[in-house]
Amino acid sequence: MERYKSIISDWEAFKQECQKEATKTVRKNPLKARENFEEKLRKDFPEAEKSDWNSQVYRLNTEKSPGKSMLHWRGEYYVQEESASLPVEVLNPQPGEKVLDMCAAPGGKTTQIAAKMDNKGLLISNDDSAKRLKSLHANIYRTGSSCARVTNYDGRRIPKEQKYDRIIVDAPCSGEGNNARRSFESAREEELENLSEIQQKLVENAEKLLKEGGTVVYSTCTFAPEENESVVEKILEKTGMELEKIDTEAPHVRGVEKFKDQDFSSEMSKTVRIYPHHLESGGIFVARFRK
Amino acid sequence: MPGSESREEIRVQDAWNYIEERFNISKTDFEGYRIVKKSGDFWITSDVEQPNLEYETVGIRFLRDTGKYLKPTTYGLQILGDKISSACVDVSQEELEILLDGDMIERNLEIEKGYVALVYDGEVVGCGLYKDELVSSRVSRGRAEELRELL
Repeated sequence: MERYKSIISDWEAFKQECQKEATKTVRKNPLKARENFEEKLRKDFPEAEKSDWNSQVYRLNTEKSPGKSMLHWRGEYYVQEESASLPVEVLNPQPGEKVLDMCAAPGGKTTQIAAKMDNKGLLISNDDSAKRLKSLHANIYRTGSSCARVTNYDGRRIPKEQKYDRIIVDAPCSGEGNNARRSFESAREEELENLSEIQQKLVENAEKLLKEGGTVVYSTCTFAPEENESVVEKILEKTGMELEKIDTEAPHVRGVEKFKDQDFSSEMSKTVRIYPHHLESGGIFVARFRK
Repeated sequence: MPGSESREEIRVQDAWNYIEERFNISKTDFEGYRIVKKSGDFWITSDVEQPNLEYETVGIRFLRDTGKYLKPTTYGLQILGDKISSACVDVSQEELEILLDGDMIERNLEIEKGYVALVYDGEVVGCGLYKDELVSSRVSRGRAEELRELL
């Protein structure tokens, strides 16, 4: 991760947090959760406390696995890192809209979208990996996300007859922000190059699938500017979409304008980076485009 | 129960009728939803026109056509939840454990034999079968094992 020392100002805090396990957090699922949800949650996890910026998210501060409870079995919550709930907050889907989740498995964002839509409208939950569809289906069923229809296209080749109000591209990435996957190791440059190209193609197709005036949210769980600001910059060059500034109460920093010998446009200040030490969770990058 | 004569003739309207009659649910409770037939089963999803795509699933599998009857899924019954006012069986923890272990419990209910909603601690936990004054579980094996561990 030393390659990011120049862009992460509070390096020591970042480094320390990356070596720790993320705080366990869950997102309440209003499609299933009852009025006494908090009471029941605190019975299982007495130290549970609400996130400062997302009223649906609870920090459990526990050793116990949040996946082993009756509330989870019933789908009243979804186990999700706190930072991972930001992209759908930024997407802000509404009941009755047509929404596409381009890389949906295992379903954290899709189930969050369905809840925000109150199961009203069209949600296409796509993933190109047939293997990962199993977990996507299981999570859709458990959470009662009945407006979700699952497809299995390569995101770059989703048929374009239908236009969507909102699209989320939570792209396949090197996952540097996920400590469990990377153990504080940055990705190889070759891997970054390949991923960057795929990510760009996914967002390019998203633009073609989007209605005029519609919104695309692009997110990754990695720190590499090659997969974040660089992709955003290429999208701005290649499509007619504009970046919209993301305002969030979640602790964050803005996208970087320089990395190594590469300069990015000042537009990157409209994007958001959350580092592990901000929320004791995984890292994430989020950008929002308007067509 | 519908579908006991000829499998091919079960239509979406039959699925609605079955749910209404068996569980005493009004279709008006489900405005905004539609039932779709896919791969021989009935799925519940949002009531919108869907684009012409190749779908793996549409919403949540609601009723299976077993070849003999329509059988509600555990997830389907959980969606119906507290709207169910008929064909539901309240069970204690001990009884639920018995059911999840594959055994039966005795009940004398004033309903016809057929599928029931198993209710534990005020919540629908899944599908059961009532026959000959005995109730058995029809919760899928994987979900039943998960639930058993939590009790």
